[in-house]
Amino acid sequence: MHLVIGFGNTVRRDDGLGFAVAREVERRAAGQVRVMTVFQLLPEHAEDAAAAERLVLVDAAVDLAPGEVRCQRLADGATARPRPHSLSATALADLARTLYGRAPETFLVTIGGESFDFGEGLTPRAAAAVEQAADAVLSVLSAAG
Amino acid sequence: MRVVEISPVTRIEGHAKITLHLNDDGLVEDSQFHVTQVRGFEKFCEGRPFYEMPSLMARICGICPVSHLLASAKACDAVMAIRIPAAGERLRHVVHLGQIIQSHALNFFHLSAPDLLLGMDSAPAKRNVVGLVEAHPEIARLGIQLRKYGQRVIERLAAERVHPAWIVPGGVASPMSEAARDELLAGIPAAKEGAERALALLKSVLDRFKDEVANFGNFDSVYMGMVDADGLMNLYDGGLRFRDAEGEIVADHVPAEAYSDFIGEAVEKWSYLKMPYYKPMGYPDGLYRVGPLGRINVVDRCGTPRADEELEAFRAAYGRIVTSSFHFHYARLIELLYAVEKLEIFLKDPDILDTRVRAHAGPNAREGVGIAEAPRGTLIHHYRVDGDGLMTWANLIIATGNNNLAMNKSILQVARHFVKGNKLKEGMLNRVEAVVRAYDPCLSCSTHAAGQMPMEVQLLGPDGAVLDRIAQADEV
Repeated sequence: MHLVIGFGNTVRRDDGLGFAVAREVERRAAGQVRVMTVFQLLPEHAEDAAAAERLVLVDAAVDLAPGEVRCQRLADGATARPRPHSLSATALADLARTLYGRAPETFLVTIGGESFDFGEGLTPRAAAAVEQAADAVLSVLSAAG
Repeated sequence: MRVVEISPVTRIEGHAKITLHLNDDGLVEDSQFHVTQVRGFEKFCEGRPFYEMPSLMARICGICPVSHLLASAKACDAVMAIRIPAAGERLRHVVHLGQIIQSHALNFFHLSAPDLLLGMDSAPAKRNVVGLVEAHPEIARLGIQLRKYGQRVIERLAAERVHPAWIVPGGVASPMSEAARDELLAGIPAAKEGAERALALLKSVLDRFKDEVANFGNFDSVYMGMVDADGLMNLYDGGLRFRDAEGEIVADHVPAEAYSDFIGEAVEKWSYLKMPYYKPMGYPDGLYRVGPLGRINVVDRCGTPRADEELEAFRAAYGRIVTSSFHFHYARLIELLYAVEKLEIFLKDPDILDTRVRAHAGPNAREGVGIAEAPRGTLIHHYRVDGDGLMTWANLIIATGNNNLAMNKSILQVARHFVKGNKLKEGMLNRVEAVVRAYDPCLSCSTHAAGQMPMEVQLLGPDGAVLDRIAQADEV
């Protein structure tokens, strides 16, 4: 089964985009894809990643225009330093490969946020991008068959 | 006088720095462990309704939010002047054991194992979780498995692994389902095996650390921890017990509301972390230790079969009162085994599925104290409210704070033994950090930013000029 992990901090406004998109994917593809929402990528997620057919990670971005959606495939065999408290998307795939002998094809979907201040709820421009980002996630997964 | 500064201390929860003060002969004269962040939770909760406190206080920490939820909810129980249903108590205890498992596994496998398995003098670029993954992937997998199990316990009961809102004043929000109980029970054999393997692994490398055992915070002190009515380990509820350096019980079954008769709090201008002390001995002589070593020293027994066997072997090897803080590691793993065994006992009790899990009441008292044994030690929440139940005052004694005096003394001992001369060597400075890691301090947790800055150590002359410097790539 495919795995979608949305991550971020829901009490830092648009940093909750990963959660929002993951939940939208879950709503639209319930039972067809495994969806997780987490504050940070952690070493223990490597086991879940290794078991996935295809992995899509969803996160808010500060280097994109608010509401802009980017989907990128992470290079096979890329390495990055894992940390005990938080991993990058690349490090998670790398750790899955090192510890469990397999890393799925991994994609990173990022959405530009407007405000990362304290507070719950997405800004209007970020909220408007949730559907498009969910489309991007589902498109990646449907391409895998 | 020259000063060596280690900033930040890596592979701990939160931000801190250490300064070593060298005399003209290059010998360590003094040291200070500075906690460089201020949180302010005691102040900004004033004016909030008391029943919001568990959710607010859980935000103190992303590693041990369950302990804060429990101590806070227990303080609220006292404000409500109620007794919570037995099933609610049991479920609170179960979720707490899940947290102990995940936190102890995190400390041993991810934070301490790089020092213990790769060696204190191994290359800093590899002496971290990356090096551990490369050199011992099976150990890294074991750590992940145990931590995941502990988190699953929390998640299965409380829906969220971090900051769950399930622990509430008066009990818990919902009972345990049969499916959850069965799933968690099914995971017990693997968790038990993982805890046994961790313990065996630590014991297999202890001989390599004789110098560290002798010099890592190896001194007499008072110890504190919570025990049940029979003097057995109880991480959720009971009374406080204090043992002195000779092993004598100097205070026993101290109820939560009497904590301030025995614990005083001092402050030093160079740290935001308070300096609690054992009041009858005054400050700073009343230095005491909490956490795994403190608990293991104060309890008569753990109360579960395998943990008690291991405790007996531990005491046979190192004495009834174990004085070296290096053995926090050993004590932590005995507790890990205990937590898995205790969890199994709870899960096998049919009463765990009882559905009456919460009592309801408004504020019936103006004051309440709640205590829980967090992974890192005794955690105290003390609240005062007005007639409407709005918070007027709060005092928190955080687990790590209890060990503050001990950590400072340990750093001084380690530095005096290992740091000599004007040239700095990475291995000796790592030992100064490693003694802090033995206590597994939790200084902020909520930000999880440990290690994201490079560690830099500077040796400064009296005029502030840098005489020597060691910089280390971000190690976590």
